[in-house]
Amino acid sequence: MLPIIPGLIPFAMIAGMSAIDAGMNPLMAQLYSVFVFAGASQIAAAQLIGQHAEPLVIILTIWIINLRFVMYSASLSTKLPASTIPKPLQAYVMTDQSFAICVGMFDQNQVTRENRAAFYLGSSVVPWLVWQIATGLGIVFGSVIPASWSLDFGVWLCFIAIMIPGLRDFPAVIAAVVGGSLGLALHNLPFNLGLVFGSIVGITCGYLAERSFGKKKGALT
Amino acid sequence: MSTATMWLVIFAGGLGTFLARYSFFWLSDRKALPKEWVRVLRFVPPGVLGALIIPGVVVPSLHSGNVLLNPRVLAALISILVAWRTKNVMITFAAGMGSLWLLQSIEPLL
Repeated sequence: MLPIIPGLIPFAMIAGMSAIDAGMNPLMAQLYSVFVFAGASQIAAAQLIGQHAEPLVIILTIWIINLRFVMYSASLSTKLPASTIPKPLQAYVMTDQSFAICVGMFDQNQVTRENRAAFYLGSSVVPWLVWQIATGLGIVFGSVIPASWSLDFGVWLCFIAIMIPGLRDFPAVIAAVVGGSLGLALHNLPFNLGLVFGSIVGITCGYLAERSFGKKKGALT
Repeated sequence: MSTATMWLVIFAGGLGTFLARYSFFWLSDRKALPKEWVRVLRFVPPGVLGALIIPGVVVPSLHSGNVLLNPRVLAALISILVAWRTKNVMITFAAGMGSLWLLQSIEPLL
């Protein structure tokens, strides 16, 4: 669990800074991080708010990015035994990292069944705390660091650092390249609909590529 | 954007995100996610992030001369390469910001 902590800090700081750049006040920016608690969507939505996108498109973007949690939820709910920890709390603290760690550890039987719920909560709550504190630091620094440092570029570095390690096979690359190219071609569409269309077509093409060609694993690593 | 609209985005976005996380904890053992859905959902992160990154980096450079010689486009390409080789967040950040600052300082020469 500890190796994931340093990687969270720049994301969280950029999330805090981008919320301030979008025009939120510090308290709102911190509560935003508490309510949504999902880095990529927080940063993406802050960007869209800054571009004066339609509120509905911004909400839709958050939902689409976080649809992946349905997949994690389906997987974790079968692996976590009943416990005294309330299910809504287990759900709220779910992250990409805690999902990946817990599924890996549970599948290799490195955590006994009765310890699973506590292990999951611990591996989710510690990153939650780090995330909130580092968001707070980003909120503070975001208001002081001059624009000439170009720290806004960190937004794209966040997305790149999240996406690239996930491109483990050919269909995933197809999804990213098609989504990105269509998003670029349609960037003049009103209400940032280019992002919505690009994402949906990219996801569809990735899925179709996997159905037609299989995963073709190993070709890219 | 007004403060009220921003709160609306935060609440609606947060609620949808929570429901996605809670979905199968709530359905518990009664239902399983169909296999085909799992296959589709796997492509959500690359599809959405690709559609965010490429226009986000390229569009601002469209109005300023050569797209490929733009410091932000070049720095993004370098960080993609570094992320692919190292899979390390800190190194990706350092390479991306470092090359951006360097490229911006030599921009008049590009």
